[in-house]
Amino acid sequence: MSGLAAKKIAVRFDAVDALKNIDLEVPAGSFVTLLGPSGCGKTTLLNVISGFLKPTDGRVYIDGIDVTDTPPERRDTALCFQSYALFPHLSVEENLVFGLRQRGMSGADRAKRLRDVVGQLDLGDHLSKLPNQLSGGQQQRVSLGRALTVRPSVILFDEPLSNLDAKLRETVRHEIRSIQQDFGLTAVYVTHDQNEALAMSDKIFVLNKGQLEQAGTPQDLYHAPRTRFVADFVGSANVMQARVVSRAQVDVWQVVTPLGPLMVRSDTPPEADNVLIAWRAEAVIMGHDPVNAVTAKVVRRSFEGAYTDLFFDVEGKTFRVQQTETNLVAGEDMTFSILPDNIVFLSDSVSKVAS
Amino acid sequence: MTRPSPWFIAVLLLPGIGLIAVFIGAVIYIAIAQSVGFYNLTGDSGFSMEFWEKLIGRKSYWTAVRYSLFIGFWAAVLSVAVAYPLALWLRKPFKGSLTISAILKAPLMIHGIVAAFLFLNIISYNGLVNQLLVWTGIFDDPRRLQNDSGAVGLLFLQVWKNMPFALLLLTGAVQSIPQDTLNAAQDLGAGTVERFRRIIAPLTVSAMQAALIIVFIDALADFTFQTTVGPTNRQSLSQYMEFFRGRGRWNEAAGVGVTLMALSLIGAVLMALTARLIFRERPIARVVTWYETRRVEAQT
Amino acid sequence: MITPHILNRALMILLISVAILWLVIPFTMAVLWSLVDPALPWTPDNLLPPVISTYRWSYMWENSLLKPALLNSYTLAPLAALLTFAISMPTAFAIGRYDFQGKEAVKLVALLPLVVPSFVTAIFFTSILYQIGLAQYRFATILFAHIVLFLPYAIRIMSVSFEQVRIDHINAARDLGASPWAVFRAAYWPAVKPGVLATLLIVFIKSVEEFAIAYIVGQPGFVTIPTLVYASLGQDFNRPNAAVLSLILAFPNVILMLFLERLLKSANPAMASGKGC
Ligand SMILES: Nc1ncnc2c1ncn2[C@@H]1O[C@H](COP(=O)(O)OP(=O)(O)OP(=O)(O)O)[C@@H](O)[C@H]1O
Ligand SMILES: [Mg+2]
Repeated sequence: MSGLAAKKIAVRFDAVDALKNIDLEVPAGSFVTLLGPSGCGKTTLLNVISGFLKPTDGRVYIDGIDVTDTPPERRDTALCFQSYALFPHLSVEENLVFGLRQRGMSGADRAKRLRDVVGQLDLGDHLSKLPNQLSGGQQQRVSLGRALTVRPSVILFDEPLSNLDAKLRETVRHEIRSIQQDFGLTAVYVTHDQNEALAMSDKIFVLNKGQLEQAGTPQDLYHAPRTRFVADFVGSANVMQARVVSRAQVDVWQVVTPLGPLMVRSDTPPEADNVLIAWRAEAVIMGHDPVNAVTAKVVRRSFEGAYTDLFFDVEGKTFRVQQTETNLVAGEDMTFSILPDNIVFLSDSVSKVAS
Repeated sequence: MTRPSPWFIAVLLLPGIGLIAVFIGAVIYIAIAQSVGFYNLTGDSGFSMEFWEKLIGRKSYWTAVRYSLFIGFWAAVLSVAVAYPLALWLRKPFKGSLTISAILKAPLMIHGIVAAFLFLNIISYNGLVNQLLVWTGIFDDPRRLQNDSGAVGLLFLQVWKNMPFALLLLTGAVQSIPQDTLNAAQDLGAGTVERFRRIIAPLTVSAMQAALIIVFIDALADFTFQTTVGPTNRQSLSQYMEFFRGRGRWNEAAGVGVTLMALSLIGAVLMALTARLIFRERPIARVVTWYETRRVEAQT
Repeated sequence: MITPHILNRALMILLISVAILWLVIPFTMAVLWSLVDPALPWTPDNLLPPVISTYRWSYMWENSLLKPALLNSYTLAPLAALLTFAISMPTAFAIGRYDFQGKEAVKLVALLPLVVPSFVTAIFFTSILYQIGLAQYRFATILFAHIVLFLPYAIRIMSVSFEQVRIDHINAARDLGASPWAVFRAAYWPAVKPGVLATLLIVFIKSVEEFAIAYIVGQPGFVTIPTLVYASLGQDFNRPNAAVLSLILAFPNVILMLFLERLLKSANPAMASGKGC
């Protein structure tokens, strides 16, 4: 298989399991994101792929070849560091061609590659500057360019945008994606920003505490999270306990929840009688619908620009509903319905969540 | 910080900086003046290049210059060359690394003369090294290793004493390179040698220069090691200067003293520049790049 | 497969053996030689000296220049330490607390005594002493030269210490109505105390170890410990005697140096690495 594959990767630091049994497959030319909170092992996994860290267990394959024992300098990967890690004593140009020099490429070919990348990333005015004479965004682009010039089999990004301001982040995000597509690069992108992950990826791997929680397309993860963690981390869904009462149809179940009785339509049956269910804040219809109608008092209202968050409390838990246009204010009652299609069963057991 | 009146500053600086300036200034002045015939303790004084001419005409003078430069250069280069790998090895702490660096730096605390004695003790005719070499059959009989004419023993001692100092400077410099920077180089295909040549050495070039300069000046002007373990058929500049002074030939001693100071200065500047040129500016690589870009431009 | 772990272990074992070769064995040899009995010489066919005796030690104490050398060295050193410290204070204060034109140049001049080879300094200092007729005051002139030679250390350490006195501490103390003495106690002393101790210690050690000035200016007749050890390595090289003297020179200083190292580390790590220049 071409592309990148990591099989059953485990990493242990002294007593800490940083990664447990991770399987990662990145088909050639695709853009895969590792998403997870700080400390979940994202950088550790990139270090295993680049070769800076030897996994305690598991193998890494690039284009079908086992590279687990190949040192980083002989692996065909290029990493964009979170800290940029530009060489402070070398000019932008020298930084950009560093990898080509190491590969012993001739001057003419180097100059051509350099011209390509410089055009692509609009670095023409800065070639003779030193990294500390550049702005943060320019440094970021140099770091990107330095990895791109070598045209690696696999390009890795470790939170490359985290040092940029919100606006620049948006622009560079698009740049990275379009360059990746233009060159047909196989890319692994690390972030803890769910918006970034949803917007950019062909496929997302959600990591939590060193374990793979769920992998899937952005749509899968968003609409059909399988665990409470994914539901919460990707777009902060409302999660609540439910007791399954009966199976109304082949794919419809009747459950009892803190919000009252609800119908759930699901392709997969619930794993137990007591389960967790999740629903998206925006996946509701205002007004009294015969199915799954809920009435609650708005306790807080928060205007977010494109939409407005409305919060209500039931049994000491806060829930959130999102509307693009609403006149409701705190203290008023609202009635809405959650369509059965928009509720999913989660697979973590209730007891595990409770502890 | 505040900016008080310059007079106040001058008064504050007078006892310390003033004393240093006057003392060192006087020493340098007397050395130069005596080398051209002034301030003679006996006989007439007056400007004369006679002593310089005599000095330059002597073969022994040039031997001493060459020999001292040889010792200074190699002591500096070897100390730095030995210290670099050790500094890189100790860059990241590991179990026992503190002990190791303490052992390595111990010679800093041992007086040069004591070191010379310890060394003589080990390599003496009936010393440990000879016994070992005879015992292993490399030598048939003990040999005289002391004061070897190739100055190997002397250089060994110089490195023993000076390497820890270079290590001290380089460890600090090497530790300030972020791990990410080294990883980036390795990720882009740079092996151990290339990482050293292109990243580590250029980024630590100031510490390297400082180490080279300090060791060079120290070894160039060495007297104690030379007179205890150095070759007996050659003289270092300090030894040569003391030889003239001991005979009351102050003017020639002054000539050698001025030579020593000039060589310290020139040698130090040259070593620092060379280190910078090799590792920072990379003149050859620049010319090659320039040539190649020219060729590419010509083609297109 | 060679893992970094194994590599480190191997390197470590190698290094420890090298360390033993380059510290433990030489010193053990020196100690053993100092304990050789003159009646029964240590011949190469014996692993250890046949008889261990402290004869050499008492002999050197009674019959050599050891006593005057100790007296000279250990009176010179504390005096040099105190005077160097006192003379360096105003300069260090100016460099540490004020901004003025030519500060960098002043710092460079302060390094001069370390850059000019010490044998050149020693020889032309005696030349000056002869010119002005002060050559017979050996103790005083050596003391004077030591002070100038070690001023760079004192100025550097003390100016860094003064830089570390925080202006807000001074202001806070003044604001609370402290007298100048109380301001000194509250704001200055805590910041400069490690520097003061380090300065005194460094100059003390350097003075005890100093060879070139003591050797050249002290000729003839004035001995310090280093010149005595040096002489014992010369024409009438007697190994057991030289061993005794070497150990007397080495040990107190090693202990003081260890103490100094700790002091500098606790005071300011940047200073510890910068003490040499
Ligand atoms: N060299 C190491 N020794 C011991 N533990 C380590 C080491 N490197 C990482 N860890 C631990 O492994 C876990 C995962 O770290 P990692 O750097 O991969 O997190 P991350 O997901 O990249 O976090 P962030 O988003 O903050 O960068 C953390 O708990 C961390 O403390
Ligand atoms: Mg990370």
